[in-house]
Parts: sequence; C-alpha cells; structure tokens
Amino acid sequence: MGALSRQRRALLALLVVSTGTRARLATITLGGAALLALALLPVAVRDRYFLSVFIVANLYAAMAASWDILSGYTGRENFGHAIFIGTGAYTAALLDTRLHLPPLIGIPCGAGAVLVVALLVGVPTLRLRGPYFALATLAMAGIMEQLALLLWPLTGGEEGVFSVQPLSLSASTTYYITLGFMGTVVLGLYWTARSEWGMVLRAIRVNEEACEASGLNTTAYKVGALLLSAVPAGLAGGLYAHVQEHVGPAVYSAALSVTVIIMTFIGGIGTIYGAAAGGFLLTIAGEALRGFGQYRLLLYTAALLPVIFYWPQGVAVQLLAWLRGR
Amino acid sequence: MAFLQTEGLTKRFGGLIAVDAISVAVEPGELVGVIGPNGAGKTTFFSLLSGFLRPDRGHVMLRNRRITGLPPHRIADLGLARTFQVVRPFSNMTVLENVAIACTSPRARRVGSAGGVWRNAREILAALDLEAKAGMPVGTLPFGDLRRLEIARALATYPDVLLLDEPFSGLSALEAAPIIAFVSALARQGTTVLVVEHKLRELMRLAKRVVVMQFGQIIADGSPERIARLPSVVEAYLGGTT
Repeated sequence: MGALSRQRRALLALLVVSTGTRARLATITLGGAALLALALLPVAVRDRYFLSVFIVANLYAAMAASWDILSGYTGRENFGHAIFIGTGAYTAALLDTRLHLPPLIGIPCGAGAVLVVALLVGVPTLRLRGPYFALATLAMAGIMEQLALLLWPLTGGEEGVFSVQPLSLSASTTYYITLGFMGTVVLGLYWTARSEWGMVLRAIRVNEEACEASGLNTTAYKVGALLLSAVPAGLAGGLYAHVQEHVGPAVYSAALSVTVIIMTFIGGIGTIYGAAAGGFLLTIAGEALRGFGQYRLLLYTAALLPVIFYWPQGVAVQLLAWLRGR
Repeated sequence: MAFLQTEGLTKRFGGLIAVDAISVAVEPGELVGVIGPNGAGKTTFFSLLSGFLRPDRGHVMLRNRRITGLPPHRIADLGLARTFQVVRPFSNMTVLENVAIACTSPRARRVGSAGGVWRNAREILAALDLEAKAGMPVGTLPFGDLRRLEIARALATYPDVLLLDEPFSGLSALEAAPIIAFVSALARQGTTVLVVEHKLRELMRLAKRVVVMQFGQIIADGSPERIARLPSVVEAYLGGTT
C-alpha cells in the first residue's frame, strides 16, 4: 500500500516535471528558498539599521508586485500607483494620530478608502480604449498630492503627520509583520496571475477585442485587476506610515509612482516575482547610494537603461532562465 | 420572427453611409454567404451584429430578443460569435491557451461539457485538427493554422450563430478545403453561419444562400446559382474588381 502510493507519487512527480511545468517548479523552488532566507534574516543579522532596510524593502516589493498585476498583465499603465500607497498611508496615519485607533483597524480602513478611490479612477476610464486610464492615474496622483498640501490643518501640509505609533518596538517583530504581508501579497498575486483569471488578463493585453468577442467582460476583468492592485498598495502604504512613524506628501509623489514602475521593469514585468525582486534590489541599492540623496531617482533611471538594452525581460527573469539553463 | 433578424440597420461614418437600412432574416442552421466589392459594408455589418459598433438606426434581433446596443461580450454570451478578418492571436500563449481563454467565458462554462475549461479547449482543437499543436507557442503556427485557430476561438463560446469574416483570405485552395468541410458540417448540425468572403469560388461551394452588398445595401439575395447569373451582381461585383 505504502509502496504503491510512493510509486504513484513518483510517477506523478515525473509527469509534472516532464509536461513542461519544470520552469514553474524552478520558480517555486527559488521563490521558496528566497522566502526562507528572508525568514531567517533576523536570526542571522541583529543589526537594527540592516533590518530597517529590509522592512522597507518588503513594502516596496509588495507595491511593485501589486502594480504588476494590473499594468504588467493587462497592459493598462498606471502612472499613479502613489494614489493608493498615499491614501493608505494618510488614512492609517490620521486614524492613528487623531482617533487613536490601533493599526489593526487603521490600516484596513486605509485599504477601504483606497478601494473607493480606485473605483472612482478606474470605472470611468478602464472601459475606454486609449490612454485615458494612464492619464487619469497621472492626474489623480497630482490632485491627491495637492490636496495633502491644501488640507494642511488636517494633514500637516508639507510637514505631514508626525508621531504615528510604530507597529512594534521590536525591529524583528516589525520585520516579520512586513515579511508576512509581502509574502502573502506576492504569493497571492502570483497564484492569481497563474490562474485562468490571470490568463485572461494576459490575453486582454494582447487583444482586448478578441476577448470581448469570446464572451468575456473585459471591463470587469480590468476593474478587478485594479482592485487587486490598489488594495495591497494601500495596505503597504498604511504599514509604511507606521514603520516610518511619519507620513508626508512624498507618498503621493510622481517620484514614488515612477520608482515602483522602475522596480517592476528592472526585476521583470508581467511575472509578479520579478517585480518583487526588483523592489528588493532597488531598495537595497538605493540604501547603498544614500549619499547621492536627491540624485537617487536619476541613478535608478540610469540603471534601467542597461537592463532595457541587455535584459529586457528583467533581471530576475533573466537570472531564473540562466539558472534553469545550467 | 426569424432566428436572427435585422430591421433597417444603418451605420454612418461622417458623410459615408457604410450600412444603409439593411433588413435581413436568417433561419437556424442556414449557411449564408455575404459578398460585395471592397467597401460595400460587409465587415461593418458584422460589427453591428456582434456589438462592436452601435447602429445609428434600426435593430438586431436574436431569438426574438433585441440585442442592439449590447456590449460584444453580452452578445457572445447570448450565442453570437464572430471571427476577425485580421487574425491577431494571443501571441504570448500556447495554442491550447488561446482557445482556453474563450472556454473560461460564462457561456462556455454554462453550455460546454462538464469536463471543464481545458478539456473543452482540447475537444475544440481536435475538431479543427489542431490537437497535435496544442502545446506549441502560437507564434510558430503557419497562417492556415492561425485561421483555423481563430475559428476555434469563436467556437469555444459554443455559439448558435457564427460570423466568419473572410476565413479563407490568404489561404490556398488546399488550405481552405478542410475549413469549408468543417463549416458545412457545423451548419448541418444546426449552427447558423454567416460568411463574408472575397473568394467567390470557395463561397459558392459553401453557401446555400448568398447575399450581395453594394454601397451598404443588399442588391441581391438568393441561391448561388441564381446570384451568379444576375446582371446587376456581375456588374457590381465582378465588373468592379476586374
């Protein structure tokens, strides 16, 4: 009995490997190894500063992966991901400092606010063909940034909201919270992207008319993808507010939106795991380049050029292909 | 009331009347050819039927239900599927995935067999002789296979009415033959088929009824033999292209 089931399992494993899912297996193995390494990080390194870099990297990885599920898969470019990050961050920060609600309530409330904003931006524009959604996200991010300044009695204007309570006083607890969040978002989005539903998103990018002619409500798919993109970004924003203990208008800035896009491109667009890898790569590289201050975005962009020329599919995707080839 | 019917269907593009008050009725299982010179309004007519364009006047009835103005996916959901003249497959996917996309539609899940998306997709590929290529990237297919794949994609919604927009264009007679056989069989099994085609030879062999369009209007409607002998058709169509 035991032998039989073992035999059957071996056969099944052989089947899985031989039917072309080897690529997927390699992705899962490497992804698992990466998550395990991240899980063991606080055990290996006790340095607070080092951990704080990885805490922020976790959040950027989730932001990039969430940008990818909409823009990387359906091809509808979102130039204002900061709308969602910023709304999540400000809502969580204000609920904390004004109403003294715990993060466990404030951060999900931020995601709820993000849901409303996403529907406002997406429903009128995603049904249209052409650049309307891209323009709307660009404009909306600008509007939100201005609102954050204009509503200074509430938001603190340029100064922002101070004294947001930390997630935890322990760096490793904070790290594990953000790691758990990042892991859930990345695995959840990866699974979604691999599902039949995600397959339709990829088809929409190539030929939306053929999808409609096949009886698929493409607007519903795109709005669904937008919500899956916006809500994790809002949660990441809320966590960011508590991690930094401060929120300023920069969370709505074009620089943040562009950073998220560059992370996705450098890691590998349309793969989820690539976007997450790009988030880690650029956060750590950015920390190393801290001395350059204002010029960081310039350096990011400069880093993008060789990637586009030599590894247009992205660094993480290229690395995976290379490892598989050996 | 016929199975598929239009009444006074009209579409203008600026000053041009692309489709001019077309009223036509098609019965279940009929195989109708739509011919006419370039710019006669054939593709526009298909786009009006399938919801990709909204008519300025008139309406479309399917099974006594008004479908005018519904979005394309709703019309496909009610059982009217179309193919496109310019074949643009989902280029980043395999042949099987290309068909499976349509198999995930609500209608395919309702009407298709209980075996599920992937089994249905394989069955449809088999029907069009593409089974052996299921796992191949779609970019590697020759043009004739792509034409059949486009029909497979439309069939994956399990349509009652199938609109084929120039299914033989770019194909040799040899490549067209299996498609002709397949579409004839489909109509015999009860699917209503409308075919826009430039290749008269293929169309005359396929259709039992031919509708001739010119300047957005129907100028003749009848059996292929009768149509081929009408002086007005010879002048408008054959005279216009040679």
